[in-house]
Amino acid sequence: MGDRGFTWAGTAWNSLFNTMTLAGGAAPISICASFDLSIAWLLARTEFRGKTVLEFSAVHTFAIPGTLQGVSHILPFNVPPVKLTDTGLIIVLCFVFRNLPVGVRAGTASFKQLGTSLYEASLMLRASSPTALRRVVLPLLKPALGEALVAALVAALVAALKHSVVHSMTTTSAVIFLVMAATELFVGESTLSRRTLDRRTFSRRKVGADK
Amino acid sequence: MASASNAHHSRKTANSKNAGSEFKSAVKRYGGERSPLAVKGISFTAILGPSGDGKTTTLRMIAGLKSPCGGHTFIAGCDVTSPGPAERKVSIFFQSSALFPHTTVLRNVSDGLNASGVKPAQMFERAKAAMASFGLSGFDDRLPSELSGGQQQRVALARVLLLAFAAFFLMSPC
Repeated sequence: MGDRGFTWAGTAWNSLFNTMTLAGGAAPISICASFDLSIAWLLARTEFRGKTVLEFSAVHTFAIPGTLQGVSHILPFNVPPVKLTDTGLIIVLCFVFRNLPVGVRAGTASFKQLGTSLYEASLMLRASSPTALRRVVLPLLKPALGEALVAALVAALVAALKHSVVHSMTTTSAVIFLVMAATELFVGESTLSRRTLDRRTFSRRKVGADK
Repeated sequence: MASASNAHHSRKTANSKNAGSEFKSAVKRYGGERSPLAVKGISFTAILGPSGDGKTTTLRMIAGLKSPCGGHTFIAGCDVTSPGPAERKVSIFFQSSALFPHTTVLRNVSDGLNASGVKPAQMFERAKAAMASFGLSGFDDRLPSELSGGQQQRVALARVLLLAFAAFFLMSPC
């Protein structure tokens, strides 16, 4: 920044910015994703076989230890063609599924609170189901979604920051499986890319410095 | 009403020979008694009964908001048992008016025409004419929450009648 102003010195700032970027990126995805709202819609407004199973599947990620979630993300994404380990994308993905219950629960509560008459009135005015959702239901869900978005952002951020505070069995314990210790993420420069430090190079430099 | 152990069911049947709605042999079972119902000709029909007798369920089945357990629903001679509510030419005036609270009165009234593919200029012109006939001129830009209960019901009625469907259902309009 020059002689005046703030200087972001040290490696801790990069970690903080990475944490905030990843957590902030995961929150809107986890809440605003049609995935969350679709599940919430099914749970709140429809009756079908296996509804209880779907509901359990959507919220069980809060009960599963982060360690297990980390491993479960490694197994499918550690080999080509979709190799995501050591990238920021898998962290976002992990946060999304970790916070899935937040989005589903917020969406379900909002749908139930809204009632069915407005949606049905829109259907009676010849609107298709997606149109009724887009023009009537979703605009009315904005305040609730905003609150859920903040809640998810805080939850993801807190979970990520816990890594430097306590080693709890939460999202942090899942994340440490996804990115190796010798990996530094560059979220700001090239989104979701990675750079793995070469230990040999590091050793040579260290030897050279000694000389 | 029958007890839960009774194998009774409710059966609602309405027939019409005109070009309007024909509700034929559609059945919804809730464990109550049978209550056959027949509607003939172009008419203004009132369905009366105690609470929980299936009046609203009957109308919702015709409108497609609830699936019957069996039978078929005919509207204007066409079997509409499978199509969704948007494809059936019926409309419901809901007990709670069900006005969209985030849009203006004019938008509420013209919403049905918008979904029908009417051009915006013509849509608003027809909506304003309908509002004028219900004594709602000058309320175009107001939100439903800024109207009285009676005015809200008039807006809802204008919205429903503007579509000129084959049948209109008024749920507890008073």
